[in-house]
Amino acid sequence: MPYILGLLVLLAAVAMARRGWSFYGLSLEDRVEHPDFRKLRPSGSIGMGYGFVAAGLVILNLSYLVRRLIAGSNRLGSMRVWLDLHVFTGLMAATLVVFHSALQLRTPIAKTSAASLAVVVLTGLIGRFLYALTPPDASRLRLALDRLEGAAPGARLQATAILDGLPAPRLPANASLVRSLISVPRWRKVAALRASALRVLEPPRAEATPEVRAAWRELHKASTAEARASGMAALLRSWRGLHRFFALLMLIAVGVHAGIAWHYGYRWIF
Amino acid sequence: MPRLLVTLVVCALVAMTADRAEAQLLSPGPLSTAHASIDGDDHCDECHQSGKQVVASRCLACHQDLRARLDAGAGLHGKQYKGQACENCHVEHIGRKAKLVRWPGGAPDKLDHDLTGWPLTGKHEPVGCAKCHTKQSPLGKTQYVGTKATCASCHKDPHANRFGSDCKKCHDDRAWGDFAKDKFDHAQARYPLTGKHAPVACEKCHGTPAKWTGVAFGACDDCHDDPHAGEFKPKACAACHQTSGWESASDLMRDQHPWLSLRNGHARVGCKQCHDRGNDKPPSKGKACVDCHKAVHEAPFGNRCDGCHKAIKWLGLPEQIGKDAHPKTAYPLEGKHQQVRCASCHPKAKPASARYRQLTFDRCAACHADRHAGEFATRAAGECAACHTVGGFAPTTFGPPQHATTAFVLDGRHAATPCAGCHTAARPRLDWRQPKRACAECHANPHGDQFAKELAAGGCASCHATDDWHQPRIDHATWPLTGKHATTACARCHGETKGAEAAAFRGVPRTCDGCHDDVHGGQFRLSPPVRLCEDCHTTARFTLPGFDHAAMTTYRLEGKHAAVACARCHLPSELRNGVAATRYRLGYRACKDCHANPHREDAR
Repeated sequence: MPYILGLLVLLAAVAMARRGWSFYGLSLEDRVEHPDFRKLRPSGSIGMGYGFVAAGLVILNLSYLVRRLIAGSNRLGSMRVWLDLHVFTGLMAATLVVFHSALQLRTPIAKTSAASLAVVVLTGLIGRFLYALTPPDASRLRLALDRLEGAAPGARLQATAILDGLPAPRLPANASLVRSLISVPRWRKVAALRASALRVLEPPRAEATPEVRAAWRELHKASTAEARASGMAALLRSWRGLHRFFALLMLIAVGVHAGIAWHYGYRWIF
Repeated sequence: MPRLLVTLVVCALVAMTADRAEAQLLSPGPLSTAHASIDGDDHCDECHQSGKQVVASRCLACHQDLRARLDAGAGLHGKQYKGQACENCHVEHIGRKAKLVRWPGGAPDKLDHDLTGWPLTGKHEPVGCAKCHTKQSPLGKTQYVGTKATCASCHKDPHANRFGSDCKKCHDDRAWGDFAKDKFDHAQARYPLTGKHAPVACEKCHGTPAKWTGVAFGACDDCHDDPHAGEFKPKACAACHQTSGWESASDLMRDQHPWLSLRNGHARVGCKQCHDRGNDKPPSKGKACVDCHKAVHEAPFGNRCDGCHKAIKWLGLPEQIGKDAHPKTAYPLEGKHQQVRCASCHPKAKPASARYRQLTFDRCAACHADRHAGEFATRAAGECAACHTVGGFAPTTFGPPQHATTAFVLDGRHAATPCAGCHTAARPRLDWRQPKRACAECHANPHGDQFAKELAAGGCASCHATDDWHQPRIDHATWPLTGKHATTACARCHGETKGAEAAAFRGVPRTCDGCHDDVHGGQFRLSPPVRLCEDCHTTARFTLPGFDHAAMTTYRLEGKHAAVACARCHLPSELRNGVAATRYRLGYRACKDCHANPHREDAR
């Protein structure tokens, strides 16, 4: 589904760029004489439509926050789907805003909105990446140890001793972004030490059955994930705060921009 | 951390807007140079209106000249863009140096001028824009709006506005010289074409090639030859002829006929009836009226009939002519007769033969009715002139001298009494018979029956004359009026007649105290020796300049006493009867009664 949504955003961007290709490439003065000037300018029928749809998508995008407030309810769909929609509406809105502005940022409000939107999109994408890196839960390591014990009886004890000797760094839940970032080398180092220590215990490749090799491979991954779990969770949390701040800034700027436009009668089809 | 983030963001925003000197937050971009004065967030409402985007009325609030053009539906805007939003063409907020005007066609000289409602045709077609659009905007740019469409706004009027401002009446835009001669209204020129001149071809007067200025037209012979060979010079042709044709001059010539009018009676006379030797020669019979007409007047009015009959009318002349001539008749008009309309005496009802010469005028009654109905038929043979003149019936000449011929002579005050004072009959007061003769028939008796005997004997005239009621002939010998009494008004003793109470002429007191008060408080009246007023006083005056103190009193004034003023001894005091008066009866005899003793022991 993320790919489908991404494809939709891409298609929309290509369609809008194709529609105004001859227009967007002109200077401001030359655009006035373009036949589609009255349609594609920000206050034009199409240009303003982009803006209104973008504003609607931004409002839809915020529904993700509501979904997060009631995270326990499964009847509203999984958080992953909601996050995908959140990313899709955000990217689509950003794309529409780019074409609504006709690739021109002429007012401080527009610049602020655009900059905020860019930061929001950027931080969103990074956040999405961090989200992907964050282990879903702590049971993975336990399951990996159980699988190893099944494939190579006795190995679990040795592995547990190594993992206990190299504990994962812990960060408090309210750790700042900077602190979270600072802690990244530490948990990377722990992960690396864990990996090298476990590799000592691992039987030679020629002697191990495929099942044993797979069990060891899964233990490597699970131990690495467990080593970074705390720091990654703190980093994701801090990053989300940054994302929200710029989102709030963007919302204020968009609100001012839309309010002024609405006040002076630029109301598209409404 | 959040503080650091906010600070960074604010700094970023400031950096983004730093390139904008005006630090505009809301404006989507700088306005063009023409609108630079209203650039900025404080001026949004100069063009924008809440809920209505950019409204034309706000643009036109400044562009008043354009508003007038739009309202009139004139010019490029009025004809092509009326009702459209200004910003459709004049796009703003795209930079200070951006073009605000985008000409249809790309440039002013490529504009299809038909769109303005003023197509460029003929000679106008190749003319550059700047030749006509000479006004400049405050920014020094050519201003196209408001260029006047009249010819005179660009072209100088060589006719000095003689033919008005609508050049198109004669000219079109192909060439000035090739104007529409058939449309030219010659009436507006200094020489209107009338009569036979109207159909004459232009070339006949203006020549070939045509010469439109400097053409002489002051005199007829500037164009026409004189067939009279100068016989009537220096008289102008127009004195006899008019432009309706040489032959149609008779009416004009009648009006212009020298020394004699050809109107009225002469209008029926043919030219040849008088001009037996040709129209340009005087009649062989002569010029005087009597050379043709027989004099009919018996009065000596002379032979110049036109003195009165200038308009060649025997009858029906203006009244003033008749009035001016009337002194020459047997009845000169004088007084009120000069104001009378002719028809009053010469009524049209009478035949002309009897209207003037057969009138009788020896008696007033020939024209005037007798308002007195024959009352005075026996006086002066009934002729009005005994009492009236032609100056008017009123006032009459019948005055007191004439009244003396009646039974009642007007003398004294009667002579000055208005007629209506006695002849009080209601209108018409022309009944002059007045039977009253006695005084009492007109005058009231103010004396009651005090003078019944005198009235019975001789009436009022016993005492009064007509000269003055107040100067009666009274014999006051029974009580002679001497001294101050002679000049005292009668009423001081007799009183005045007031209404029904008549002045008293009988029983008036004869003694002094009948009229005068006793100012001495009874000193000489109530105590002996009694003195009467006349013992000391005379009617000449009350003061006593020659009072003989020795004879009249028992105290002789001697020595220094003779020169002492009376008032030194006779002082005002209260008498025994309580009356305040100058005390004359003093009763002093001894010196000490008046003088203090300077030799008294206690006086040293």
